[in-house]
Amino acid sequence: MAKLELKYGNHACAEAAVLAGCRFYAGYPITPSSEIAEKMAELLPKKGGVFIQMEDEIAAMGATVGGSFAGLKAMTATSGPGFSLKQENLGYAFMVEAPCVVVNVQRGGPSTGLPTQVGQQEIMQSLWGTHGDKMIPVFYPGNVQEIMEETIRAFNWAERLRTPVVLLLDEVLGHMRETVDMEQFEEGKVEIWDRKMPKVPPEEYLPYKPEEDGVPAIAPYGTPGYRGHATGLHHDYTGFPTTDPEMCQELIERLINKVKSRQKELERNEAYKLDDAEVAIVAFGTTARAAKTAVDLAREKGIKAGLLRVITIWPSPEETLYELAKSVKAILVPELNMGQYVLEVERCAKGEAPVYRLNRANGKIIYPHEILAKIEEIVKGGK
Amino acid sequence: MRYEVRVIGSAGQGSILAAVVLATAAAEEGLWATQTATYGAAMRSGVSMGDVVISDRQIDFPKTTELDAVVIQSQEAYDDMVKGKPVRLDPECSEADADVLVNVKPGALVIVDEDLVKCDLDCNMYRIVSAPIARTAAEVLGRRQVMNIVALGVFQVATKLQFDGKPLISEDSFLRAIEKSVPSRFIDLNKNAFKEGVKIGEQALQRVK
Repeated sequence: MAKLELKYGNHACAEAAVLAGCRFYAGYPITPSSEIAEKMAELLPKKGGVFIQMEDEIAAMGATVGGSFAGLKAMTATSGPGFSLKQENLGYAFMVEAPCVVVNVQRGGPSTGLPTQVGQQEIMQSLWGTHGDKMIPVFYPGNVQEIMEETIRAFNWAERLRTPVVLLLDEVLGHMRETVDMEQFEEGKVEIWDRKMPKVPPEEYLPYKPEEDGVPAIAPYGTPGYRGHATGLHHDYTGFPTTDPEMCQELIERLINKVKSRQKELERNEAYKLDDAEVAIVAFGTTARAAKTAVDLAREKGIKAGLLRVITIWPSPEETLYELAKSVKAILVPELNMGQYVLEVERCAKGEAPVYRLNRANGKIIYPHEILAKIEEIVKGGK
Repeated sequence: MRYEVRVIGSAGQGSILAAVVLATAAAEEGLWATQTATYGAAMRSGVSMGDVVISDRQIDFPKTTELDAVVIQSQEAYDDMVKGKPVRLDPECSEADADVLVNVKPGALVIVDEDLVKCDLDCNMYRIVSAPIARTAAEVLGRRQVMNIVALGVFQVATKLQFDGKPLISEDSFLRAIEKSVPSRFIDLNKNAFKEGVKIGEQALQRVK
């Protein structure tokens, strides 16, 4: 039995975080993400959790890592400028393997940009914003129901892999109210994964020694007897710095592979009318919703269009995109930026199909009929 | 089924709250809804609006493009939306102003306050329902602030014109939505406002027929 409720996008994110077990939030408010912080401030104290408003986004990300290391599931949320500020500590979280969820409700950029308007300009930054090699899961839901699902999934993977996970939203999703079927979120129905704890006695404890799954079992800091060191420097199994080339190479390969090797498990897409499609749209977030309507409009006009809505943005669905490129005559990538994910689609298509763009970065969404016009243009053989 | 509504008014008239209550009522009715709004600082001046899309299934495109109903709460809002600009009948309307200049479908409900809005739209093209919304709020309920909820009552009744004599959403769903959407001390006031809106809506419908 469906249990329909109207929920505000940003609030849904906060509620789902608490459902997933989040008990620590450190943030600094910024439009259009502030309502996540507001809701967390309301919800966390009731659950015995901690909410801290920090002095800025840098500190908020630092505190999130600290909260996570102390043993709590931790989250922070921000938007463009704040996401830039968080990058240093996001890299640190990756290096020290602090599970946490970083939400970025995208607005128009660069810089202060368009604070109250929508953008999808952090597709690349979400993975490559911090210096150094990195691979982290990045999820991008497409409706309010999915904001809840993906927030929970973000926490689950963060905990299982001991990694930061970025959850991308956009201004339209965050500031939208939408019906959610709450049945799947009832108590006992939500699958929750927790981080593993060391199984060895304190004297044998090595915080950064990976187990078979490539993930180390790190005890929460302050656990009696289980002492460890955390550093952003390359480190050995004890957590203390090392410059040993073999150790350094092993560490960075492991950090990347623990995510990349699970690409298939992490992959989540929605395929819509792709079975016989000749023109495929690859889109995400709010733009994908316009694209879905555009597919229907194109079908009404006899054009075989379909949509691959990418939910797991990184690691990218390489094989799925390659297979898609082989099965269609053209791919269109509409996005609210000047051409970011299209680069990844082009790379994965390996020339099997031409990849077209539809870009906008002025704070306005792309409407279905604009995507339809582009599809018609492609079908007619134009660009 | 896809049904699009816009509530538009001057700053402080509660257009966005009305849209939230409407979307909540749709969910109470077992329908799917998305609700979007202008996001800015129009608390004290300017025009603000809340849009709602209602469907019997999950909604793809969440914003409005072709309105089935519009509730207009002030002359300023009417002018902003209609006057001096063509009411767009062409769905290819996007561009920068797409947020404001959506297409109002022929046969759409246009609900206006009979004292506050001078509506010169073609009544052969639209179902224009004019009712003393603000006056009822001020004189019957003693609070002009609840005119947005009175307007929702009028809307609830007026949808009978579009759905073969049955409203899109029941009164009960609206009343439950009000309970969920307004502060507890104002629930009774708003429920009464809704019921008064239904009354004047019924009367206005007699005049339309």
